[in-house]
Amino acid sequence: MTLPARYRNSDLLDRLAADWLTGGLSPAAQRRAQRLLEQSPEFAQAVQGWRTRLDASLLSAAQIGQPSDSVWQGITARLDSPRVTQPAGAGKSTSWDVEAWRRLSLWLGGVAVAAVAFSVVVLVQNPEVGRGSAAPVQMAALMHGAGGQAAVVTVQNGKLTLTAVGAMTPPSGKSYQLWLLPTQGAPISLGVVAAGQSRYPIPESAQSHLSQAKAFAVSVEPPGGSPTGLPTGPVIMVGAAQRA
Amino acid sequence: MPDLQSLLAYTALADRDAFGQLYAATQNRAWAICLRLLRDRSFAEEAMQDAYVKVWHQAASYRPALGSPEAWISALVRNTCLDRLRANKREAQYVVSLQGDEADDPPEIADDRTPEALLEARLQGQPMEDCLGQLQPRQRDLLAAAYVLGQSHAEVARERALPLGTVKTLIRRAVLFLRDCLGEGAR
Repeated sequence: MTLPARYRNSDLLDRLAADWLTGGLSPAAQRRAQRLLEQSPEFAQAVQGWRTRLDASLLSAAQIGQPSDSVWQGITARLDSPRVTQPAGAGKSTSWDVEAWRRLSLWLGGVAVAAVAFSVVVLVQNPEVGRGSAAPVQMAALMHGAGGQAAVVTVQNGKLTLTAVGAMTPPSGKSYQLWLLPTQGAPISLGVVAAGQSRYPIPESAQSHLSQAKAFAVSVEPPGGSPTGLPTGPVIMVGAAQRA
Repeated sequence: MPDLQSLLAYTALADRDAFGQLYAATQNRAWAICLRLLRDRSFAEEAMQDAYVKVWHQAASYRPALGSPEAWISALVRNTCLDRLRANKREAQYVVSLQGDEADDPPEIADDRTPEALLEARLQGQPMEDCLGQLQPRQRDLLAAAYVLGQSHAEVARERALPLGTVKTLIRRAVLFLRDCLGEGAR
């Protein structure tokens, strides 16, 4: 894509970069700048140059110090605490969050699944399916999203079924991608969600991680899926895995 | 700067390592915000904890359309500090005197170097700081509010009850001055 001529003017790019970082752009102009950042290496360089200068002077640890290590320790301790209390004055989040899906895991096998019983496959161990000695992994997850989205993932007999509760249409020019979140390590792609498709093959790369799945999630990605192989866009649904 | 969008996405998926990297990459700005707003090291540290616990829980609500990840985190940190500031406001004087009596919690910075003074102290020494030092104090204050707090000109103007045009002019003049002062060699 060819940029307008004005975006090849280095002086203008430099001013635009400084203006952006110092609060001088309207929300619409900020969005244009964000797009320009991805299209113009020269603009990206100008932004980085200004960021480096301003960081060095206004955010320098040598000048303003750093928070003590106890801050990070306190944060992690609060995340590990079984009862996380909201700080005073904090509004109650209406969107799902990670804590929500953790709590979800406690009652996923009961009320939640029953609520969408029409879409949940009852998992029954089928001895005929096991090829070799390893028993097939069977599990289900109810994924929830902030916008009221919900979908059920089931893994049974080496196949994955994704059943959306209601419509599941990605934003224009975007794809939904399904991820397996292992107990440890980075999310693993289970593929791009295709309109009208509910049965998906499980990629080779994910097969060996199925037994360690702790959750499934759907993120918004560029068309065709994440270019990095890892989630890059917002996560719209997540749900804890329950085994048969 | 690592890819904050990816780190936020991982954080939304409960990846503690990604969250740690996100904290490391953004803590300086968050710290500057908390110090600037709360002007007390222990309050600032408590607010940092509150804010990053919120980042962990709310990471999935981030939407790129709403702005950069850094701006999203800055806004969350700023709002957390403002909540705490409001909660502490009535007790502010009492808390300040109590702070002075805390013998077992010695401040890591000298008493006479308040966060504000520390923020101003940056104006000495380095080329960028020399240039900043040549700005009017009000220009420096507005520039820091816009950059450190991530506020728009309109927000800066509203908080200080200044005309928007005045804020725009002062910040833009400050930026132009810095650019001229630093010159091409500073890039």
